[in-house]
Amino acid sequence: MVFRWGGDMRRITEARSDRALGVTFQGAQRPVAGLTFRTILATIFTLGVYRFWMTTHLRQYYWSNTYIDNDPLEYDGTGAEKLIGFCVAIVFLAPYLFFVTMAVGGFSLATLTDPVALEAAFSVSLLAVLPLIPFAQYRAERYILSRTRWRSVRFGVEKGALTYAACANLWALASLLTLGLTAPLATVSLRRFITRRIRFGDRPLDFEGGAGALYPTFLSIWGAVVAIVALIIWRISDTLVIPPSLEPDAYEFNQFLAQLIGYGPMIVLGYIAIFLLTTYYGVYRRRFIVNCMRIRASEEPGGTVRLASDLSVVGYVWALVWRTICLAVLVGGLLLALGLLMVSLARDLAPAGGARDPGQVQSILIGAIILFYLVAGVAATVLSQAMLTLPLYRRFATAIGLRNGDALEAVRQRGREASGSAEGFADAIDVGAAF
Amino acid sequence: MNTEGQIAAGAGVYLDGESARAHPVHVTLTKEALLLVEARDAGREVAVWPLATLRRIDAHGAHLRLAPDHESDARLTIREMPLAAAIRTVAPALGARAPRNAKLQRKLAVWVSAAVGSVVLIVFVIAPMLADQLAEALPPEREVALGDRLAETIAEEGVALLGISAGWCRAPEGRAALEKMTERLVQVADAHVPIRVEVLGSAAPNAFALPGGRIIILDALIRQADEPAEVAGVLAHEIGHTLARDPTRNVLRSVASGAVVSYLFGDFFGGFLLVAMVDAAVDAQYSQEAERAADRMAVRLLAASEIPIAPLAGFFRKIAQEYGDGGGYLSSHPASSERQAEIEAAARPDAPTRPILTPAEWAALQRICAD
Repeated sequence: MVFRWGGDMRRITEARSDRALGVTFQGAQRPVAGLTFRTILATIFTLGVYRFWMTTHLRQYYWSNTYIDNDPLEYDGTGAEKLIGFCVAIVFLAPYLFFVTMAVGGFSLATLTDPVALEAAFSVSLLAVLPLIPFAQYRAERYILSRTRWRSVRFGVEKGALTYAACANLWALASLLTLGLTAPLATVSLRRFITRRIRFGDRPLDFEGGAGALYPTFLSIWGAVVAIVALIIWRISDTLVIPPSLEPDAYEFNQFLAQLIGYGPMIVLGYIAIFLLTTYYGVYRRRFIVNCMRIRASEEPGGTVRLASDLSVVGYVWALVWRTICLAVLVGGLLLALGLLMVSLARDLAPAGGARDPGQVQSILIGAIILFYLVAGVAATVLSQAMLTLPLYRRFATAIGLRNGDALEAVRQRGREASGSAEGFADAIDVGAAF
Repeated sequence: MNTEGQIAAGAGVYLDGESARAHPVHVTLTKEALLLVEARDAGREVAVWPLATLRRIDAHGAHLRLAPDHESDARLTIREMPLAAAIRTVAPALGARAPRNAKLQRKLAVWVSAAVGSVVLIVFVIAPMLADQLAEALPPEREVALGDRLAETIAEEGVALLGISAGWCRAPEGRAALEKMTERLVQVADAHVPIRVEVLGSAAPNAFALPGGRIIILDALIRQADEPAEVAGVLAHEIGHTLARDPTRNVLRSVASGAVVSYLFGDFFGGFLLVAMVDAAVDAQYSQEAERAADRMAVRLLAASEIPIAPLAGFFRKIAQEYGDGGGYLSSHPASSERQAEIEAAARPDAPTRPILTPAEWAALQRICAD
């Protein structure tokens, strides 16, 4: 076996005497597909405004079908709160993004000439949003948890988005400088930061675990990814012929392109391998985080609840890959059928041998493209929710257990918090999840 | 134990909303309320929930989760089908929505206005202002370089977009004639950048100005013109755009605010329609003004170089007949009939004029793409 189990797995097998609360999920593919379909149509119809209610409905579905020891989670957030949060974020983001774009634009116009480079420069200015992402993520998690309950007791998260964002950005910088080697340290540091600020009722959560347990697996995967990338680069640079001038003429450029295309299969395989490796680590990491989480339900010695996940990472990744392939085939087949239908309809409608008014042809073409886009989007959204998101959620959630869960009875209620900017920043910067 | 007026009874699990501790209770359903009594502790009464405000939290499978009203944190779970069914029948407003939260509605109104206002301010006021400043500040050499690259892109990729069929039209006699016409107008123009005019082969008539003084005329316009003064009029209009730095401003304004708006709104369904509408609205409001200004400048340039103005009005009349009047709030150009009227009003029939091209030169210009 290439990958070693992390140290935390042993802790799970040790603690057998406590009563563990299990997680079950009652949600099913067909109801969620129907829900997604109805809400995405409403979203399109309202030019996107309904999406806040769509996310809320989906979240309610998932939460209320997730049972911890026969008691379901509750979600009482509203679409209105999310819309408010989004508007709050816009009021801050629009001017910020605009001025950064203008500043970069002014600078690049004074120095660059190529319109392609100019467009690239303007896109680069949108990177100004990157430092805001962890801020948005913290606030989003804070909102979602503050609207989540179990056994009538609310969750909550203390303030700390700015500190969190600062730390996250520093860690990102460190990651950049070390080619990613500090990633496990960042994971542990940041998750510990936020987990210790999470409250269940009046009791805090805690994070017990060190990066040492993550590193063995991380290094194996990191090494494999680096090896693959290096191999590909070495193979390409070994045999690639670069055109002599910086502005190649058409023939040289085509030759260059042909070579690149020749490397296609190798690059695709490399990409797939890297994708599988990084996905594996992503799931492994999430399982590790769950295993480190504690709920300090009371101060007494037996008052700590331990979360544990016995998720099979390989099983999860395999399910992800297989389901994604099925989804792609299904959506692709649907689009192909639609395309063929549209082409045959066009043939039937075209007048025999006559030339159509070009304006009419153009508008029909545009209408057809829009229809295609919409059908593709709706199909992809509905099917991915039912075939991908729900099954994977079920897999991950039902693998979680709460050891010594009875200690939770001691937890007392906390007050309802204001919604603040809800997940507005996450919605505006688009770092949200599928629901 | 039988209570009077009891409709149904059974077991349930009660959460008092103060802690996470679940209490098994005995539930009695009467016509008015649910009576909850401790199942273990010798029947101590736990709560009385009036049916009128009883609300359902959710009902999955056989479970029925209830709350006494919309505010309370307390919960009751009924897992027995008969009791759950009885409650569902008797309680009047189980699935009722929460009452409207006036405070939330006000907050919503405020923040939606703020967001819309913020975006409108940026896209319709600040972006054009800044774009104008930037365009004025841009050194001529940068403008020329930008225009050159744009011209190359158009020549290579304009086929699908504009019905451009072939590359640059560069027949020598045609180019000489075009030079002569251009020079006539440039002399009176006092441009900040060198004016260079080229012709692209195409099926549809049009002309446009790029940053840096590059002007492109689509050859169908030349072929469909009745006389040289028509082409000269269109050329004068495009020079008007160049002098006002419209092309540069256009590029800047649309890239900056377009990028921001499409980033914030464009990545979900329907969003792209919103972006397209905003784009069109901004385009329209901005360009119609610019087009009218270019028309006025064209009239001035034509008069100063002693070229007849009426043929330009005739050009717009032809356009209106061929392609419809256009105009309107979302159009990038004013109505052709309006432009025709404006120009005719400015034309002086008694103004001195000199011919622009000899008949041979005019013929050569019309054949500029034939090679």
